[in-house]
Amino acid sequence: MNDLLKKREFVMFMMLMVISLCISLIAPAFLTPSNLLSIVMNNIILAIMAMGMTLVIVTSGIDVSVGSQLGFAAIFVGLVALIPGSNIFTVLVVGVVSGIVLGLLNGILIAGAEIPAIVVTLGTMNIFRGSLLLYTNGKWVTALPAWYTSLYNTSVMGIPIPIIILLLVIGVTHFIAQHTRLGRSIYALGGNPAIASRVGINTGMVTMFAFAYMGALTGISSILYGAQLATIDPNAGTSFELMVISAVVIGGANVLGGSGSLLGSLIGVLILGVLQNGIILMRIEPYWQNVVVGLILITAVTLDVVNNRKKEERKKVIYVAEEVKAGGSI
Amino acid sequence: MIGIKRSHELILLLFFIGLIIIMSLLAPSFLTINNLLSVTQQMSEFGILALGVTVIIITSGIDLSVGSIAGLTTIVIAMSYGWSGSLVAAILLGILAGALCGAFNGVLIAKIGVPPMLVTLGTMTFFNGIALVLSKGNAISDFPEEFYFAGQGYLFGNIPVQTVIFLVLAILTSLLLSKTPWGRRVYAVGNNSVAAVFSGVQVDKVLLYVYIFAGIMAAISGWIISSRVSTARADLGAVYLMQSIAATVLGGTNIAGGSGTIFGTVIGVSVFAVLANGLNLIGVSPFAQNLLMGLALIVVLLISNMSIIKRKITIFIKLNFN
Amino acid sequence: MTSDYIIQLKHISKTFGGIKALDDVSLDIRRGEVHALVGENGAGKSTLIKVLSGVHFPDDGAEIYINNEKVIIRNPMDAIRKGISVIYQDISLFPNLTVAENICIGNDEVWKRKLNWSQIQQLAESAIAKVGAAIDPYMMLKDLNLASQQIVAIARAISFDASLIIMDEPTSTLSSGEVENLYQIIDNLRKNNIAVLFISHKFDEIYHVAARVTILRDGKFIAAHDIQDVDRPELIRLMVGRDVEYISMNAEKIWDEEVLKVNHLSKKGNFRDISFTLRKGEIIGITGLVGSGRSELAKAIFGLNKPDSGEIILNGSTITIASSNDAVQYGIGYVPENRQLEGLIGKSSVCQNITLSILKSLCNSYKCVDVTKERQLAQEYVEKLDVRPKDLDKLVGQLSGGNQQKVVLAKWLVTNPKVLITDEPTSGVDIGAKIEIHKVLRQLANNGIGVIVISSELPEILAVSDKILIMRQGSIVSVIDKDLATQEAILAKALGA
Repeated sequence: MNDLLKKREFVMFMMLMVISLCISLIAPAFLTPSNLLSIVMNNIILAIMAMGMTLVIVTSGIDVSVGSQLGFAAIFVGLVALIPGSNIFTVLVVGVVSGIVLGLLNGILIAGAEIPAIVVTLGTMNIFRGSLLLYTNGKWVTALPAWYTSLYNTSVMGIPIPIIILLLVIGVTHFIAQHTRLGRSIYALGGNPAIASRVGINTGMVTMFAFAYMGALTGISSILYGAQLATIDPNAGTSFELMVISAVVIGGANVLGGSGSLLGSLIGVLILGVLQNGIILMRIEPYWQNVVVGLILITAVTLDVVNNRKKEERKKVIYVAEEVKAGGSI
Repeated sequence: MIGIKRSHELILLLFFIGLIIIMSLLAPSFLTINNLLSVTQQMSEFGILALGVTVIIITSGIDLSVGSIAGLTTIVIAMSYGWSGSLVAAILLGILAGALCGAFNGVLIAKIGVPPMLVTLGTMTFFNGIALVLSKGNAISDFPEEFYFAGQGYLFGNIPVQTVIFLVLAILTSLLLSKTPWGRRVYAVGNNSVAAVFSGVQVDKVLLYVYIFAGIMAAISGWIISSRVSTARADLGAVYLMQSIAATVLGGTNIAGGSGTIFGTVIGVSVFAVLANGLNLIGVSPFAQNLLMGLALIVVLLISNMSIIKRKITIFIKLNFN
Repeated sequence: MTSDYIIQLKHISKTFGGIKALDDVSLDIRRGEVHALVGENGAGKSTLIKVLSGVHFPDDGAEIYINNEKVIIRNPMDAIRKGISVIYQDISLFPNLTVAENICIGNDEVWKRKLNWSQIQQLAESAIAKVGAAIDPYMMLKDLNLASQQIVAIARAISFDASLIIMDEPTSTLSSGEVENLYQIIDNLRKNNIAVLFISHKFDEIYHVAARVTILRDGKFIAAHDIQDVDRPELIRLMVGRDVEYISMNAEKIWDEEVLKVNHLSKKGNFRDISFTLRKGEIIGITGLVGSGRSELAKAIFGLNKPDSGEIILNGSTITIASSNDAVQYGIGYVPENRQLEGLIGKSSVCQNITLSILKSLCNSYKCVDVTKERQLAQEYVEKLDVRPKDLDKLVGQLSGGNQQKVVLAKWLVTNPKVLITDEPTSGVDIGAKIEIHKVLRQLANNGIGVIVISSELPEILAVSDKILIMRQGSIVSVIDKDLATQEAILAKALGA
């Protein structure tokens, strides 16, 4: 599997390179440091949330409520930022905590009531968005204080804060996924759900963690969202879940669970980001973007299936068993 | 299994009746013929979408692209009317486009074996992209007066045309599922596709037709939406995607496949429509509708999963207090 | 020494929905002993393992002693920590994790909140070494073959200081070389004072490895013996409660007409150069070891395993069978080996299962299924095959094994097949139902159908067939006439001895 995953990431990486090459041939402005930086800066939120979604999909779950979660937490963060006396710290706590609460709610319904993840998050998507719209009455949060909106463009030691946050998120998620019992339990649960509890894994807790962690990362993203755009629309993040899921799937995670890597998902994010940027630079009408993204998605998942099948075929040579089931057998 | 299913439908039916009673108490104008007819009008568009989704979910599949197909259809109808001048031809072309989209999904799913969620995640974006490219991202509204009949017209005085279309399609789908060999095979595939293959059922063909069917339903839905709003636009229909899946699941179709009825789906769709209409009459903010639709889905599923929850609580108590 | 029991079970009962799967069973295993657990399918072996390994909680009154100390096994992890590990047939570990992770997962010593990889690798390596194998601990489990995966599972058990390892039909997926290797591992375990509870259907293995044997029947404890005190016929008698006695049935008439002729059929890695002729009214038995290509051949004739070369001739004309649907159209039926997975739509009714393959022919002029006609037909075959209960609306999943198999047979009988292929038609059904199914098969042949019976069970093959084909490593190595065949002769050919 490791080989396959590596191969899959490599294939997507090559695809990213080919796309980048094509774009830079047509639009020289593409391959400039400032443009590359802007691609990264424009996709920070997507990348952060893709990290969480990877873990969710590895457990064989899915979360279509993250777009609503993002809007919910962003409005909340914005309202808190407007309160005099609030600072980065209060905003951070509010964003992360509200994200965790929303994610945990999904997790509890999925693990506790055994309702499929897609159904639960379909429901909570509407609940989160509905209560948000009801509360704000559709009004935007504007006039955010400068200390907050400057967050996105401030650099520390020459590195923009959003990038630092992204790197931290990647580091922490990688650490959790690869070096903790909890992270390996996420992979174990996705790989063989039927027996996970037999080796002492508290499957409910692991599922709840994955969704809560997704929520936490959405919360962090929501802080960046308001800082980036300076105004927050209560419809913020609508359909964003599909972008996040697409990036993760392009990166090779299997919706049936058990496999998916953070590196792959990051490549998936970059492919989406580069395409979006390239289409503008190449002066192609923007509505071509969905055609290309859709085709890449379809190609990626189809190739996966075809490759896997070839592998299976090769394994399927029999003559292996020679035991005696005859004679006095009953 | 049947017991569980029946109990779910019963819970849903009680929920629905309760909802109607509450609505008619709170809003006197709710329980009038005209209002009820307008409820049916409001539910038709995504109800038709949900018919296709139901059949797909019974086979243990899912289709995230139906909203995009509906949007694409509106563009195809508008554009082909533009150069053909024939409304009938345009509508037929639109429905053909929907069928082709469904077939595209179906081939990837049935013949190549890509998981439905992944295929339709891709085609959702892809079909929407095609619609955007065709329309250059614009809305088109060059329609003749007759085009508005399907979405704005009435039969026999006050029965909305789209209600009639929805009812006819719902009955048709229900008959297809329960009476025809294809319907039987749809359930068999959803229950145990391996055993279906071993019984000589052409699973790939069954699935292909299922996705084509959903594509056609999405196209018809798109046609009606477009007729009602007098416009063709790529993103028309997208809002109904999640609603139609939610209504189907609310109606008792098991997301794991093998069970579900059109009757249940119609009830599921009606619950959403009554909620929307009733809240509107009472004067509740339209923003509350989303919230209550989501709540309805979760609450009904929680009630029908009550035995699992009770068991879990018992185990939890046993582990922690014994 | 004799009283040095590592584990003792007393008064173990387990009830599922009013049915007693286990009824006051006891089991004693001595330290470092290889103990065989035998019984027919449904005798309660799996339930007993599940109780022992903490998957099921026994009914009140059960007593479990480990090292003469009364214990309660709360859950699977608890069982493992108390020194009881199970090696399941399908391994039941995590394909997407590494060997080292699979060995260490859940082991408090190393599987801590924060994982220390060098510690994990060390533990895994030492456990693999103790088994006497060499496997790279960084390999993904799914990249190993089943024999190596089994070794990983055993290494896992050792790393948990198991004092009892339960092996559930451990040889069913192994080649003969791998089986030898497993024997050696078991020997090794025994020397290290680790007891093995060995569950198997294969008497050769049981007599080869076990020191003692416990026999279960119908959820009840029947007997426990030192293996040398009980010979094979006696063991069979204890398991089935009576001597196995199939009724040998001869064909009333075999027509000269050739229904099915297979010419030089080959598929790489599956079977090669298969030729045989099936006449109307004849039952051909195909036997051979599991993995000899029998089922693959059957699937090729049923259109589910495309052959590379060769031809299939049905009633004199060469046909191409590209799908199972083609096969059905040509009048070929197939009763698969795995009834639950391949044979039945479990959540569907008896009636709908029976008519699934012929829905089209039941249609009325509106292209709808004529339910009255459908139910009449299903009713007729339920009566004919004596499916019990005679309830057309009963969900198939709720029937007993024997009755489920009758439903599968009925599904094919309604298609009026010319050829019926049955793969292990009586696996997992009780002896009475076995004989009934044999009768049905003979009846079909007498009505002019060509029948192929694939079976591992030699007495069954001898009882039902008119002609016996023996396969080994993908080829037909011998064709024996029923009257000349003996179990010994067939076995010799199948083994290549």
